[in-house]
Amino acid sequence: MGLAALLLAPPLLAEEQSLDATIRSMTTVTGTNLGAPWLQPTADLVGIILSDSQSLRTLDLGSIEPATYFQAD
Amino acid sequence: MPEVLISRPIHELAPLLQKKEISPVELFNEAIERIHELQPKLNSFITITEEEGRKAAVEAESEIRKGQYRGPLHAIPISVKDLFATRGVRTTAGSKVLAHWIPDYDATAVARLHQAGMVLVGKTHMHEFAYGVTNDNPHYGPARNPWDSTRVPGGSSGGSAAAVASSQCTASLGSDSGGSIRTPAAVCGVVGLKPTYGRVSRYGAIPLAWSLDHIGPLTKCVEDAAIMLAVIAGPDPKDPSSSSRPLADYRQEMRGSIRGLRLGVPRQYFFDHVDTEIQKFVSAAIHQLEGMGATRVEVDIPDLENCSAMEAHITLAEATSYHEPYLKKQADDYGPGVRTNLEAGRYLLASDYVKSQRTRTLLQRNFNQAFEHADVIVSPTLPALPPPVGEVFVQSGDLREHVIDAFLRFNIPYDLTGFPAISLPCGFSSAGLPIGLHIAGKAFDEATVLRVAYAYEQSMPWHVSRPTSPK
Repeated sequence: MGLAALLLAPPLLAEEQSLDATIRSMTTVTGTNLGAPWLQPTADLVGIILSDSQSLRTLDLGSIEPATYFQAD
Repeated sequence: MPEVLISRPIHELAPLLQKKEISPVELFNEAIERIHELQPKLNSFITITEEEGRKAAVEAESEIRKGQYRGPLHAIPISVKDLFATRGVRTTAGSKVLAHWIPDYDATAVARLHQAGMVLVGKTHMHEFAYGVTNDNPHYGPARNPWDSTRVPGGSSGGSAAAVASSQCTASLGSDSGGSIRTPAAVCGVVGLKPTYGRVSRYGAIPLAWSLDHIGPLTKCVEDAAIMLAVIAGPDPKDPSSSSRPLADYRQEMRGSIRGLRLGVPRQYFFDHVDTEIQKFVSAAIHQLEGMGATRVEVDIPDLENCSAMEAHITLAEATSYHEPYLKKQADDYGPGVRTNLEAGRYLLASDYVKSQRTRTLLQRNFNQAFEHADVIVSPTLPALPPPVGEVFVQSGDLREHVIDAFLRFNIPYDLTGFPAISLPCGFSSAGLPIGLHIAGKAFDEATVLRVAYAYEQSMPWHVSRPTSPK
């Protein structure tokens, strides 16, 4: 049983989920169950933005604070 | 078109109206006639306010006759992007979601234009909820470019730019969160001014992204932009981001000399992957300004490569937040492009949003350092010419790219930093399509931006060219 279970188990640990699968799995986070026809184009767009964000994510901003117009008064 | 009143700019019409040499009703009739003629060809309007406009024109005529002249916008036929709340007039934001919304209030900028005596001729066509750059609208059909009606007018204030260029009105009010005033101004051959963030109240403008949205005019010439800005600018208690910084006398300061003024020409980003004809005309415009006494200074502005990602994170997060209630009730009323953008906004990280907002501060510092060496920064408004309606790729010099990437590229930095920027005509491609020169300035220094633009326009009057009637 031990060997069979290992061989038949899905390779969860080594493979990253596709973006559409990730989005499907986020229903409890977003409160939205995104299905066809919106799932694939949404996943594609999120993928493009994430790919475009690599340089932004590596920026070291030190103590720089966000630009905001919030005023306490 | 023959030389008619409606083809003339505000600064020429205003004295004639004041001296009672022309009739506001006659001027309005010309505008409405032109709108009815061109609407089937260009689709520049979502709602034509013929009844309201006629009433306002009659009132203006009566007031002026009695000597109650209000100022340079009195009796001027003006259109307003359909994203601004207009009391008693349907305001759709270019969407089926708001197809039947009739606000009971005016946006502050609209109220100020009314106070100044404008005659509202209609609500102009726009990309759905200002969320795009082509005005290819699934609910109201595509708007079209008056220079070549097979092509897009740019967006999202495309109806405004097309209406001004084709003399369906004298000026228009638009909004700009990623170039939505300057892009259509460039491709339709008119002047589009995005003032500093906070200079013009956003109250009553349906938001795309609160922290990126700017309100400004689209006009036939720089002087008209100065006239419009003077009316709509200034603090507003209804908009917490509006500024109480003092206003300049834009029309007066615009006429100053540019001798000795420093023209910043960026070494990076703003001249990468640009159509060769656009490059040629913008370079010629810079030479022209140098010839008038301005000094060319090369400037470095780092970190611009992050602008696209920053804009995406901020726009998607803020837009999805605003639209959440509508998405719950009317999701199927959105067009597919905007619906996809709004859905995607749910799946990006809050930390990327905040990082983008923090990087705006860095970008402002970088620009402010460049502005220590330059009074304005000049570049092309766009790297590519407008594509045919329905085409999503353009050729930007050696780069084939999505029209959204192309049209946002040089505009976004000034939405992210909030600095004022103007687009004005600086030539025509061999296919007869207008080309835009982009001039940006320091925060709240619209006066210098207008001064450089006016000086260029006076020496190279491309703006007087108007499209022939489209087929």
